[in-house]
Amino acid sequence: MRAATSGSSGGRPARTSPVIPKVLEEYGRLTREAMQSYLPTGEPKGFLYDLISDYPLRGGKMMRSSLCIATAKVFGARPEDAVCTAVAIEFLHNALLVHDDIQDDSEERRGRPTLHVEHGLPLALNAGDALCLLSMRPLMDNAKLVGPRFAMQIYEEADRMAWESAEGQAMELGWCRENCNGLTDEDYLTMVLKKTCWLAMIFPLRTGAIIGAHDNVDLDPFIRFGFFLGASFQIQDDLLNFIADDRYGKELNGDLWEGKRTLMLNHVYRSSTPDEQVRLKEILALPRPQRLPSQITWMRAQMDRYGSLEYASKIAHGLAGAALHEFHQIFGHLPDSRDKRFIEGLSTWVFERT
Amino acid sequence: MTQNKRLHRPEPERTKPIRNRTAYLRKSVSWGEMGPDDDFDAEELSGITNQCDDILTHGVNLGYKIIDEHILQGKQIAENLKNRSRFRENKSSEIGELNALVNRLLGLTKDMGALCMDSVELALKTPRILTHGLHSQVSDEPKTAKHSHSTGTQFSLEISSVKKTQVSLNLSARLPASRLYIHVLHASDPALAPLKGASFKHQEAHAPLILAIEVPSNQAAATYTGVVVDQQTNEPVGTLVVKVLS
Repeated sequence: MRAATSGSSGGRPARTSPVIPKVLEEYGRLTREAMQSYLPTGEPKGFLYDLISDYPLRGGKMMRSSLCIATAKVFGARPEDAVCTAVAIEFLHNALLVHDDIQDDSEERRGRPTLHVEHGLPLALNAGDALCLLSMRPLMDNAKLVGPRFAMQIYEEADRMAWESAEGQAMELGWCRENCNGLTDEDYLTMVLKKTCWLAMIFPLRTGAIIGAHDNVDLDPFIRFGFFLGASFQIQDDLLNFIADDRYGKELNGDLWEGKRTLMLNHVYRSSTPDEQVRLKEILALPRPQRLPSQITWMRAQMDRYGSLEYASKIAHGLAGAALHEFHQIFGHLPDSRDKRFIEGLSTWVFERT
Repeated sequence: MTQNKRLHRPEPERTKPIRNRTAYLRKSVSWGEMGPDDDFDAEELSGITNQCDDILTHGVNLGYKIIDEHILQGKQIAENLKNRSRFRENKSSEIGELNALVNRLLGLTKDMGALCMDSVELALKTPRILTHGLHSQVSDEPKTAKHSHSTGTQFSLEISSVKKTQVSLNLSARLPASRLYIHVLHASDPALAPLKGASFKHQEAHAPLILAIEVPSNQAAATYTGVVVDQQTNEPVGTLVVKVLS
């Protein structure tokens, strides 16, 4: 059950705002250095601590943590004030990736074999649990940085985000297990709001605002902005799954093999004739190892026939436009800065990866 | 008179924006060469444009619908939680302080009781604490061990009772245990029979002194107090309190 990844930017570099890679590099480095201090050493090294540090050390764009730091800075905080929250975000994100890979039985993550492929399922599962626990420590250390009251508020935000993420994950896993078909766009977007948007966008934005502005900002608009940004990001990520590109680092048509209920799959099912729907349902009812390449090819061809990719792409662009609108509602009155341009640029950056 | 020929701009290849399928997909190599697609009538063009707009509008509208409902749900949950905590606060403001005080009092009583029992147990095990004080017990530990035989400071407690019994021994003088004698223990109510079964027993020279208390089964529940005296001078050196519980 893959969450949107911040993958590599490529394709049309001319459109990429130069500020985005710079900010990602700077705040990513700051967060990584802080993460190092939290990574335990000693024994059982080979069974736990090496595994815990594996995914964080593989890289990643650090988009979530950078968004948190940038938002805090836009509202007047220092980057150091938000670093504990940024670290917690990355640890939790990596913990969920470990569990995602197990749930999806994915074989590759960030260009290398997944943790459970390398170390076996029990140890990988345990390492994922430990990463989850590790994300609590920086949240507690927030008391020293932002004071106990705001540290508690951030902790409450983390609590909500974790529940939303678990609910979203459960929805998607449940749909696959029960072979749910004919899902609506509303179903999909609700699932994405919970599964992806809260951890990837809403939590970093809201906590950044708490750190920077304390009580002086309404946090509701950040949910809107984070949702539109996160949903367009996830749809684009799903679309990238149909493109063979080494930089993307994932299996071509992997979502079809897994039977993920993407916007495209839901669209093609709704658009299909009754006979085609029966065939789709039969294919999706099969366990992944029993699906045949010819069946995947047929589903992909059906998507082309009914314009499902174009449909999803348009939805993603519409949501990105709404994200820009919401951005201006929140940040419009604030003075221009590199961090502000970074946050604004994310709305279009999500499409730069094709 | 020569009549100059009027200059004319060349007719533009297109007179309106190219809005057709090929333009949308950006497949044109040259706008001039391709021009509008003649096979694509205005009605179809308008249909495609509307369809495109419809999808965008559908996506954005749906997005706002979902997120506004989500925010509303969040607010309702927050409001419920706030109301619940406010209810708890109101309730606790009225009786909470009293409850807290009672709880603290109960806690203190329990702690004191446990402390008393621990003290008695410690004192009976090491009566030097009673005669020399805690400080000297700690600082003179090697010496005490050396002279414990001569001073007879080792105690054991033997209680024979079918009823629950609490014992408290308080000695103020430093005396060899062999000189200690316990008088009969009396209850505050003179009508109750005294407790006679408390005594110090001597065994061999190196054996610890035994404080033996025998409570008859028909002994009334009460607090019995007796004086501990120096057998040589008959002067009181402490008290023994035995509480027989019902």
